[in-house]
Amino acid sequence: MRALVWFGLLWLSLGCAEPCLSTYEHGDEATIDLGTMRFKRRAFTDGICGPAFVQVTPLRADGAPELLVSNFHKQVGFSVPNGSLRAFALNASLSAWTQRSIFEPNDDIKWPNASRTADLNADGLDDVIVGTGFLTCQLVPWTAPCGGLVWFEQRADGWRRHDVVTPGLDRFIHEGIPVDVDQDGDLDLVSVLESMNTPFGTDYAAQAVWFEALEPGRFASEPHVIGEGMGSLVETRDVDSDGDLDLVSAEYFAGLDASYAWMEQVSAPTSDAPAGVWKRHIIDDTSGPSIQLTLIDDLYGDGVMRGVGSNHTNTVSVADDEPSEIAVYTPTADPRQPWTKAVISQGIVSRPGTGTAAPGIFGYGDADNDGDTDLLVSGDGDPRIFLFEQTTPGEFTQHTLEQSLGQAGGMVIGDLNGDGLNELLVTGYEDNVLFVYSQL
Amino acid sequence: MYSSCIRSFSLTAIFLCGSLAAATGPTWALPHAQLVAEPTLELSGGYAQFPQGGLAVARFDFESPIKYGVYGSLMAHEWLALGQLDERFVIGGLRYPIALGSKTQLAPFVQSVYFDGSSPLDRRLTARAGVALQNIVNDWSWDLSLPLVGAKVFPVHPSDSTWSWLGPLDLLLATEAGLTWRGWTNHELRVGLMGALIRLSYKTMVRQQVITAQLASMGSHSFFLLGWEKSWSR
Repeated sequence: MRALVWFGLLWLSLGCAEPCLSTYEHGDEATIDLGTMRFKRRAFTDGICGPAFVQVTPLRADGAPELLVSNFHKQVGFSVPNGSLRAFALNASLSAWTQRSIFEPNDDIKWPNASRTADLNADGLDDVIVGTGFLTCQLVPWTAPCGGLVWFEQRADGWRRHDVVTPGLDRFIHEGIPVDVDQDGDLDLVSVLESMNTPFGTDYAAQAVWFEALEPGRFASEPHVIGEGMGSLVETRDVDSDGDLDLVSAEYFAGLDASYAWMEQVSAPTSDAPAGVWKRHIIDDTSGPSIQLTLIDDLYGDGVMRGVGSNHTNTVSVADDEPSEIAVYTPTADPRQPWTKAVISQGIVSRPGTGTAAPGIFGYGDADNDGDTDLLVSGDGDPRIFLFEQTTPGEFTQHTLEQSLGQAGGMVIGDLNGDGLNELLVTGYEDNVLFVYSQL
Repeated sequence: MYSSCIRSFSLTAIFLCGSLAAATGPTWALPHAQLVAEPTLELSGGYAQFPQGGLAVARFDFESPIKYGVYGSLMAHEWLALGQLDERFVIGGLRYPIALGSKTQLAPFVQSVYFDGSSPLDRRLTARAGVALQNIVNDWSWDLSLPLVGAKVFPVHPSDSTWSWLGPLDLLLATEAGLTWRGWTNHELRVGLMGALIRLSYKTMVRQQVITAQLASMGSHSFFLLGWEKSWSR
């Protein structure tokens, strides 16, 4: 009997996976010189496990900014892991943080993507909206498709979950953008439902939709269909300056051969056309599948709104892929026509392999606190992190902030501690780390 | 991280070798065409190296003739990392071996596999039907277990618990095939494929006990098990 007990204990000791172990220690500091810039980098690893998207938002009643970090977690066995969403508050010196949980792996939400915050139920407190799922759930046979759209109501006693789309949809959702599409006074949710071509029977697809709020915080279960197209990180902007909101996005899974496109709201929702009338326009169809397009007001300081695009290609493993690049798009006189493209990056190259591509997501802001707009770019499949410093209007110097931080996310430029100076925030999925860079 | 895993693994391997030394079938999970004359139980345990670390693996495999030439099998595979993972496969199978001459067996089979993961989206029930073949020539034999059709359902899925057909890749990934050599008395060595994994298995007698060992790998995922087998005469 004793031998059996020992055998059992020894056997159990074999299971020693540490999926959240980081290659860095919590609190590690380093100094990084980039041209004339010098940053102090602090590593945060407590509560970080397969981090991806980060939003900086004043979620608490005191208005202090918090970092909302989506943790994908890491696959240990056969099934896709459940994720978590945690809020971190940094102290004034950026040397320590406190964390609180919005949801944890035991809430059974897989692959929590980008979060958004808004007061959905009009109770005076901001709530958190999260799109869920990814192609991983289409590729791992032991896990069902895991697309979903959930929001967490902020209450005095914690968070209360509401499912707009209960996770389990065969298409994945990256975001639910709170916007009053039908102009009835409450916030609806705009999303893109996507699918990947896999050998298990799914195919490329992207469909832009909006979920109508029947009353503040209560959503119709069936969405209004805006149209085919758009992508994971869709944004709402008045692209044509006609007073209504349009959608603009990079396209990766749509399978419509465009890199960047926008969806014009031709007419608002009516009883005859409850989804509204929308028309898709191509911004660029020459750059291959792409991951993000963000419109930035006054990017060059000349008052003109421009788009920054990040495509997502792998020239090493896919012979006919377009070069991996960051490009600036300037609208033409008629924004319905393709926009003028200027590539600002050099030498971004993905690692070889299927499912890996470069570059990744990016953020923008005044990284060096000199008054203009810079770009912070994840190489993603290229394991480097790039800072594009705008030196003169429209001219960027490409710096390598990190040499090796594969599949990085975050990419936030913002003032995290209220001292009037911006910090940079980067997450490393493979390294289980969140870096905060403050300029010295 | 891995050093602690390797240390634990070494200790357990030494322990198992000190206390142990095949009549269950040649396959890992699919029904096969080999005749099993008597109820047979195999218990094995070991270690798996996956990209995020080590897992403890345990395997229960019971096979028996039932009636009218039908054979049944019940298996359970447990994969465990304390505090991180507790997943299991429960597998039931029925097969009906038919002799095709003196050296070849063909066995139509049906199988069900229940995967029990960490959340309602990770509980999958699979049913497969197919054929297994075995051909024996002197000291050598080859075997093939080929699922031809299958269906799956996520029975506790929050919104979709309907059955759907398995695609060709899903069926192919379950396919097993191998070549076995029995050239030495009381030794049996098989090299085979189970889906994308190469699997090497070995059986021998040590002090009248049947001891099994198996190693499988696809590079990123590998596992090793030592086991003990017991048969009961009717």
